[in-house]
Amino acid sequence: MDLQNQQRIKDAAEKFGAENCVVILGSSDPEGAEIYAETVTNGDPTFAGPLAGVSLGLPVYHGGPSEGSDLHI
Amino acid sequence: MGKLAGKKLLLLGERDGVPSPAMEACLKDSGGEIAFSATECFV
Repeated sequence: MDLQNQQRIKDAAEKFGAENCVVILGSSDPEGAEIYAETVTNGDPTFAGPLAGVSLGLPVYHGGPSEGSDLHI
Repeated sequence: MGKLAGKKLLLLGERDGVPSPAMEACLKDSGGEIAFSATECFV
């Protein structure tokens, strides 16, 4: 995940409280979504960004296209 | 809809997937408040 976005996610979780936040992903592939989800729950797996070693534990949903054209969560 | 009510929504869109403006449009009536929205690109 982009390092700036990691910082913004971290700031938002600290400002609003992790229990009040929900992360919604729009990734096109499952591997990417898995890395995003791991980053915002357990911390940055590459230990390169602001979320390295920070377990926010945020709930994560993946919003992708369903059989119709609506966003399905 | 109910599970997002009152929540702060952090949207991480992707250019080749669902970009964040589309997610914002879909979630504006979800009951949650969009606190952060970004679209990433890996090209």
